[in-house]
Amino acid sequence: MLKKLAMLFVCSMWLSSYIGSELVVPKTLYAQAHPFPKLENAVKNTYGNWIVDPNSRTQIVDPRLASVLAETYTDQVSRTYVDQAGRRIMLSISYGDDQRRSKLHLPRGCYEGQGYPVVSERMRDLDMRGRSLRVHEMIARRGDSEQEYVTYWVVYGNQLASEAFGSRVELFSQQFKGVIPDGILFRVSSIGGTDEQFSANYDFLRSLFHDETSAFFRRLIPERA
Amino acid sequence: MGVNLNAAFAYSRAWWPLILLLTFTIPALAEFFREEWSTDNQSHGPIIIAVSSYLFYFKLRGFNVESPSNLEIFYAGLLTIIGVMFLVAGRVIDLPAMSGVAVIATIATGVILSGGSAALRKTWFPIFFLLFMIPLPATVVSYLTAPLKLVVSSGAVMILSAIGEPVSRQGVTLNVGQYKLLVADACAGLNSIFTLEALGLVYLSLIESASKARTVLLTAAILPISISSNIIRVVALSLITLYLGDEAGQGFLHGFAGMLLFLIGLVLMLVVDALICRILVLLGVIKNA
Repeated sequence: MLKKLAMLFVCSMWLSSYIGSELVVPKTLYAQAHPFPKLENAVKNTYGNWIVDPNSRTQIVDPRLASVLAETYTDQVSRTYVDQAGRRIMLSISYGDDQRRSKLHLPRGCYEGQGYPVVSERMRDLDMRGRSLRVHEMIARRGDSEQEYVTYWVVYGNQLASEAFGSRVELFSQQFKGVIPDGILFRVSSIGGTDEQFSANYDFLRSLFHDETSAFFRRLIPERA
Repeated sequence: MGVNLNAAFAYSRAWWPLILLLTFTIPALAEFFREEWSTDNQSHGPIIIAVSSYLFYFKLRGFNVESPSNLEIFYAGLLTIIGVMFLVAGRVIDLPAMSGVAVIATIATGVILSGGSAALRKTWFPIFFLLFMIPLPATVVSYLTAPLKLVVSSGAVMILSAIGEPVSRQGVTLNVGQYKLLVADACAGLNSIFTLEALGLVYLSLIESASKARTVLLTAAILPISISSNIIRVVALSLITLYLGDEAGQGFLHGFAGMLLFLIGLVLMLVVDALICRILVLLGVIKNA
C-alpha cells in the first residue's frame, strides 16, 4: 500500500516538475528591453590620438572559423588603431544577444587553438572614469620574443562578470530571475615584450571611453550592482 | 533456454515501478537526443544507454525481487525530491547535465521501489555507468577536448614528418602540402573514448571471469588506445588529402576513415587485453588466460 502511495507521489512530483519548469524557464531576452548599439557605427575610427590603421582594413578569415563566429555572435567588430608614437592596439568587441542559445567563447581557448599558447592570466582592477572595472590580463606567446598582451572583460546583461566561476553564477542567477542575458566580450591587445605593454592597452581604453555619459560607455562598463 | 512467458509477465509485474518511472525520463532523454547527442562531440549517449540496459539485464538475471521496506520507500521519496530540484534547475539555467542527474535519480528511485536496496546494490554499476551519458556543458567539453585536439594534431604531425611528408602545425590546424586541415572537435575523439570504454565494459562482462585487475588495466588502456586511433585517422586523412586532393579528404573517405578508426580501436583493445592477460598470468595475479 505504501509502495503505491509512494509511486503516486513520485509520479506526480515528476509530472509537476516538467510542467513547472516550462513555466519557470526564462523566455525574455535582456537584449529586447535593452537593445545593443550596432558596433560598426558605435565604434568610431578616431579616438584622441588613435586612428584606425588604414593598412589593416581587410582581414582574411578562414571560412570555417568565420561560420563558427557567425553562429556564436550576433554582432562583432575588429579594428586596429595606431597612435602618433606608432603604438598599435587591436580592438575586438563580440556580442551575442542570447546567451542561452550560444555562449561567448573566452579568449584562452581561441588563442591556444590557433597555436598561441597562453603564458599567464591574472585579474586586475581598474578605474575607468569613475567606474570600477575588473579585467583579465592574459599574455599569449606569438613568436620567439614577442607576446600578445590581452586585456578583456565580459558583461552579461547589465553585470560585469569577468571571473570564470563568478560569471557562470551570474549567468545562472539572471536566468533564475526569468531573463535570458546577452553577452559582451570586450578585448584589446597589443604586441610587446614586457608587462609594460599593458599600459598601452589602458592608454587606448582611456581614449576609447572618453565619454562616460555615452550609452556605449554605460553598456560596456556597467555600474556595479 | 526458452522464453517463459509466465515468468516474464511475473517479472514485469514486480518491476512495474521502474518501468513506469522510465516513461517519465523519456521527455528529458528525447531532448538530449535532439540536442547534445546529435553533435559530433557527444554522440556516445545512446550507446551508453544501450550498454547500461544490457548490463542491467545481465545483473538482474535470476534475481529474486523483494518488496522494499518502509524506510527504503522513504529514501526513494527523498531521492525524488532531489531529482525534481535538479530537473527544474537544469531546465532553468540550461544545464542538461543537471537534467541528466535527475534522470539517473529517477531510475534509481524506480529500482528501489521495485526491489529495495538489495536491487540497488545489484545494479549499482549499470546505474553508475549511466553517468557517462549525461550531456556535458559546452565549457567542460571544450576543456576536455582542447588538450585532446593538441595531442592528436601534434601526434599526427610527428608521424607525418617521420615518413617524410611536408607538414607543419599552427595550433590545431595542419598545413599538409598546399592544404590546410583543421583538427575539429570530432577528431579529438572525446566521444570515441566514451564509446570504446562502453564497448570495453561489454566485452569484459561477456567474459564473466574477468578479474578486477584486468578490468582496471583495460579501462585505463582504452584512453591511449582511443587517442592513438584518432592520430592514425588524422594521419590517414592528411595523406588522402595530400595525394588524392581536398575533395577526397572531405568526402566519402572522411566517414570511411572514421569507421576504420573505430575498428582499429576495437582491434587494439582486443590485442591489449590479450597482452594484459599474458602479463597478469606471468605475474601470478590470475590463474589462466
